[in-house]
Amino acid sequence: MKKNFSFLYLLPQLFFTWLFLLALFLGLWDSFTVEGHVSIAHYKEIFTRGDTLPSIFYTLRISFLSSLFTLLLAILCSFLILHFSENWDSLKSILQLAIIMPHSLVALFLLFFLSQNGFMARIFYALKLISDQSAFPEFVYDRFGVGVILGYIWKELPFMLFFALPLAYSVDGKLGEAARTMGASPLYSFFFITLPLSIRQYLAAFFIIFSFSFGSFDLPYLLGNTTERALSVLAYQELQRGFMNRPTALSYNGIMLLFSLLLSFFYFRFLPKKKG
Amino acid sequence: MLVKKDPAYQLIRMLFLFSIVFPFLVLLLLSFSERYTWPGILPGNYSLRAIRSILFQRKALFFNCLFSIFFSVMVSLCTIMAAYCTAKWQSEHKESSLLSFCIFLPFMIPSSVFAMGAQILFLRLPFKNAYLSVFLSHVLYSLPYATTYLTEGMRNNIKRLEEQGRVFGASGFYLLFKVTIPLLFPYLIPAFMMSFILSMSQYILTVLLGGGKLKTLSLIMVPFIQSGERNLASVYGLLFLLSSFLLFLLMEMLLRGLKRREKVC
Repeated sequence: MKKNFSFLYLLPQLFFTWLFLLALFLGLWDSFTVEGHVSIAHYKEIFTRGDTLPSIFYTLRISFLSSLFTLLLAILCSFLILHFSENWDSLKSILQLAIIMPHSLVALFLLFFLSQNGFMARIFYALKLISDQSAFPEFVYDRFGVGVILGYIWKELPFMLFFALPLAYSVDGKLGEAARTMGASPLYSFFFITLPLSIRQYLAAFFIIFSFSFGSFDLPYLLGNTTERALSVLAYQELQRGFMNRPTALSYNGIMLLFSLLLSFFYFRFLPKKKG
Repeated sequence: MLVKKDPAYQLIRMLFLFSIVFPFLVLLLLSFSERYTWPGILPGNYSLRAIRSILFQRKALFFNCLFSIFFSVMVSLCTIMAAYCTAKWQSEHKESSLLSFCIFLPFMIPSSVFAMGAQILFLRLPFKNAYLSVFLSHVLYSLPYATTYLTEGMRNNIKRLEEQGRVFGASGFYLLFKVTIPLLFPYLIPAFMMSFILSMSQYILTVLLGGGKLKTLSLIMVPFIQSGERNLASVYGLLFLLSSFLLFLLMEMLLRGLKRREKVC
């Protein structure tokens, strides 16, 4: 008897998922229609613009590099954390503290710290390492996107640690410790035993943050260059130009959506299989 | 060999903690600063001008902040209720990868992509309410996090303890408030906080779907960050963090109060 009504519990999630898919579909549909009939005119238009392809490469570059560095740093940090047996509960609260920081505030700190007029520049000047404001290398508003990459690393590293460490802790506690009692060095037991067994979590987190940083708006908007812009910023600026430009903006979104779906496919391939 | 008490390791640890705490100190410093002329390492003049102007002169903006906190609390409550339903279903039925996909979909699709499509969707609906659209989209983007937390919580034999409660005569809302919620509290609190923070930090969703009517704290903060008015941006940033921190304290006190009552019984 109970089973007949239990599907009601699924209604909220179904409602929201349906809303989500509908919104995505409408956006995609509008990008493919020109005055009623299906055409790819909008996509043709944005690709003939000079800045779309460079923007795609720029966005790919900053999201891939930031996710890759985050992955490498997370693995290194995990080794240090596991080796020194850090307490997970206190670490968890510290990581949560870092995760809850909004992107706009991270942008503010990076501007304060790394801009040519910022804190590091002034320290370098005081230490006589640079002679003038403009001698300090450009970290924000630059063509390569260093500030944006650093901002993503600062935000995503705690997230990846938060996501992947619990499994690494349990694997290390059982199999890693077993290896160490049999004579393996801590370095060996981490890189050849703990890491291969928990790499799925790390890679799943990698795809999440890759996808997230590809479409994220806040950091590239606040810290990015005016000539090299991320796809999301291009879409936003297109939308700001007017109501008639909405399909063009939606075609930018279509590219981002395609990429996110591709990445989510990879994520679900790597999703850790639950035991039993 | 590396040892825990190694000074090199302690230094790394300190640096790590400092890099988390440093932004807060920066915010505090910048909120009081006036002019940050070139060679000086620290700001030259200090004053309470920025703080005063926000608290007393720009009354409308201050009330906007209060409203956005209230809005985010409502979003979090709704998120938790929806996440609880989903978690309950997941705990009672077989693991479904399709459902996992549906739950984690907002994780993978960027909010700007959804926001523009949602604009079209909400314009075509018969009732055009900016608050409702922003509310629903905030809940949507907080749901995956809340569901993850609550599914984890549901794994701890909630069902068995609920059945125990039913055996003793509890049912319906009494069961919910006296058995389920206290058991889930360690998971409800992070879920609530996460949804609250996410909702407060959302920028592009609120900008596009709110249509200018809805002003959250993020919306007020971002133009100041762009324009370079660091002191005002920092004060809003501090307000943001302070409100989250106060809420967190409130939750902790509630949790401790509940634990104390349990011990007494």
